Amino acid sequence: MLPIGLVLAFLMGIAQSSLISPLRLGGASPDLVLLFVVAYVLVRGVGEGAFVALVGGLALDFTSGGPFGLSIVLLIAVAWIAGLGEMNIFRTARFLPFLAAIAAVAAYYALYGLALHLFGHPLGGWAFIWRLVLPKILVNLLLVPIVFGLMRWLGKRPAGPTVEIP
Amino acid sequence: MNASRRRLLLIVLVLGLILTWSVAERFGPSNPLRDALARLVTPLQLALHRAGRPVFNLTERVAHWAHLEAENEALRAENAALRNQLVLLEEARIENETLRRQLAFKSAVPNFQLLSAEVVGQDSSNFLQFIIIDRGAADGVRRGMPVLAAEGLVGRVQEVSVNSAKVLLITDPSSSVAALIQRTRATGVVQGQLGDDMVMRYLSPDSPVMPGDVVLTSGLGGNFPKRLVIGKVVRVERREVEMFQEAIVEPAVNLRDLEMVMVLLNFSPAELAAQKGVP
Repeated sequence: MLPIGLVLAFLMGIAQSSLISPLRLGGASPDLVLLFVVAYVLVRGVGEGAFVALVGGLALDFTSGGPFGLSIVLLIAVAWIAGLGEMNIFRTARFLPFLAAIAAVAAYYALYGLALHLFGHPLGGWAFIWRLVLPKILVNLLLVPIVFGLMRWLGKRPAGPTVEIP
Repeated sequence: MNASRRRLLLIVLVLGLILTWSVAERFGPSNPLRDALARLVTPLQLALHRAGRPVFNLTERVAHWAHLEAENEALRAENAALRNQLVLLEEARIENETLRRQLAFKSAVPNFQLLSAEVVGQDSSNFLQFIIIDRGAADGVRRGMPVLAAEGLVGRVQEVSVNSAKVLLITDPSSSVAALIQRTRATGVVQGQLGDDMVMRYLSPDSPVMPGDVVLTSGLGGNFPKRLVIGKVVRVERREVEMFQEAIVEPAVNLRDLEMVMVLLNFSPAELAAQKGVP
């Protein structure tokens, strides 16, 4: 499962830049990698999810104009936060993916904005919260059923043949 | 692998990656790690961007009749070209007058050497206004080079790898362009801000700036050539207590739907020339 997650995270990072970013609603584009990382952690746990976050973050950092490493570190941080509500609760509570997505997007962009501010990038005051973070949350909520549905499906797939090493 | 080992591996990977990348950034004009990744990623981005184009176009077509869309597109292109010509003519007239008064002549129309490039990606964070183009150091693209579209200025090259480059758009909050109002010749600095518009700061309070005024690059500072169209004034903000007035400027180029741009190869920004020690 982890290799598939790593490849998907990398491909989603590239797709986010070339395919997803031009699709904007209310000025905001969806965050495929961020949602995938949260969904992965909720289904498979933070142990694997953190590595998925690392690879997804690498793809995002490569295609972003921001400081290298910022997306990697923030996605891993979000994976750890999402890890608090992982596994069993997710399977029973239908609203949890939506709550997790809201919390993840809010935390990710609050930290992203703070980091950019510390790196000297002007943000234009607190306006970024309602002009950027709120539209981001709303747009990402639309994507939650698709990404979490994909992750549920991947989680239910039968495991491949295993080889026992003596 | 147990949890603590896994955590340790992750920390080592993250720190190692960031450290190696930072060292590679200082390696030379181009980061070898970024080059290696770019060779893998740029063709993929190009393929995905091209694959997605029919989807983006489809959403637009829902709102338009097929023949009207084509006609509209042609008229828009013609209109943009004519507007650009008008601006250039007006510039030439003003320049002529100035040159006659000074009894000197200098050719002000630079011989631009332009390289066409396809846009293959955008910054996904929405915090930063960047595009990624499919031309890089192998094509002669260097950091700081201005990037244009037929309608006007797009931005400048910020980061270069072997076959791609990141372009900081003029709408990014960290972008500043020395500018002037064509009609009044009032100078200022156009800065990006969150959203699609820009703000022109440091305009003299006595300058009669009006909505509709065309904003051009002034060439001051030497980071952009003179007389490139930046956009037009949509609103003027005057406050009694402020020393300057500000104008909200709409970019001449639709930066959200960019597909092709041109990199100005034969222009060396003063900022970089100074770094290299060129007088």
